[in-house]
Amino acid sequence: MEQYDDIDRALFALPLEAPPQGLRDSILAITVRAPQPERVNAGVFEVAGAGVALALLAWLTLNIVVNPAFAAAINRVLGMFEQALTNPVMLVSLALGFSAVFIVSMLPLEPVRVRVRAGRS
Amino acid sequence: MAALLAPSLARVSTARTFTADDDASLVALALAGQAEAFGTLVERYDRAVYNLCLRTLRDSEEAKDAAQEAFFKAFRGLRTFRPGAKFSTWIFSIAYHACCDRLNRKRRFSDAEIPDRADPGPGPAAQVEQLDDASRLRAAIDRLPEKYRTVITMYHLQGHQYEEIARVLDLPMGTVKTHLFRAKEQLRKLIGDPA
Repeated sequence: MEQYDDIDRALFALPLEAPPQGLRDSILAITVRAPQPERVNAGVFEVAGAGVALALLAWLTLNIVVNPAFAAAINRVLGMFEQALTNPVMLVSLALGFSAVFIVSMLPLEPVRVRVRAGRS
Repeated sequence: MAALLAPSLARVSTARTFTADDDASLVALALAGQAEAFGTLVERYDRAVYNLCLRTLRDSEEAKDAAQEAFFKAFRGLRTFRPGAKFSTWIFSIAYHACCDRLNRKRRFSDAEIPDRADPGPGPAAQVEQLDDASRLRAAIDRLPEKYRTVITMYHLQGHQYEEIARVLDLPMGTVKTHLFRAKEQLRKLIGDPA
């Protein structure tokens, strides 16, 4: 049990001083009412896509680390890609394909409006 | 009927009244995006925080700045607030450290030693007698060393327990009790209390 003397009682009776005018407003202005940094609003599809990509990456990494057979299969697939990309015929075909796409995309083609005539009755 | 009630129901559901008794709920609401809940915490503690800063710094402008700084830091670091902790302890601790930083800057700037004993002041008796009791006591507190002013403010003026004061000031509880005892001794001398 605390024993309080006169000085304790005098101190306990001392009221807190009123804060200066505008202190609360100034605190609120720099905290609650301050403009918050804009949040990046990602759509549902973007979030889902990022989630799927991350999950796939995690699954691949885990399988490569844990399962040697899986790692070998991945190596085989990568080897096939490597072979395909070092094949001159394949490279020429790819170059021709991309060139064709590029040239077609540069052509000034306008959509043709077709007049639909009202049928004469 | 439903159409008539709809607008008033919408008003009720969007009205933001933060009457939560415990500070932890307000912190949780603020963290959930309802920043106005922090405003209720400001209303609850701005006076106490300002008084702690005022007694520690002995300068109303500095105290105002320190109180603002404390709430700003608390708002920015709300995510670091440990669930289960007391908000009051946390905000007082931030405020106290803000005051200490200011005092240290002042000390470095003035390169003067802060005395551990009460400042006798220029002709205190004549000045102090003219003041009323509360003002005399406040003037006497202001002449105590900083560590004593702070414990007196927290214990007597704000009603905190030894344990909370020890946590805020990061001191052992025994040291807090010693500070209080010595602070009262010095106060007695300053106000000429024979007890």
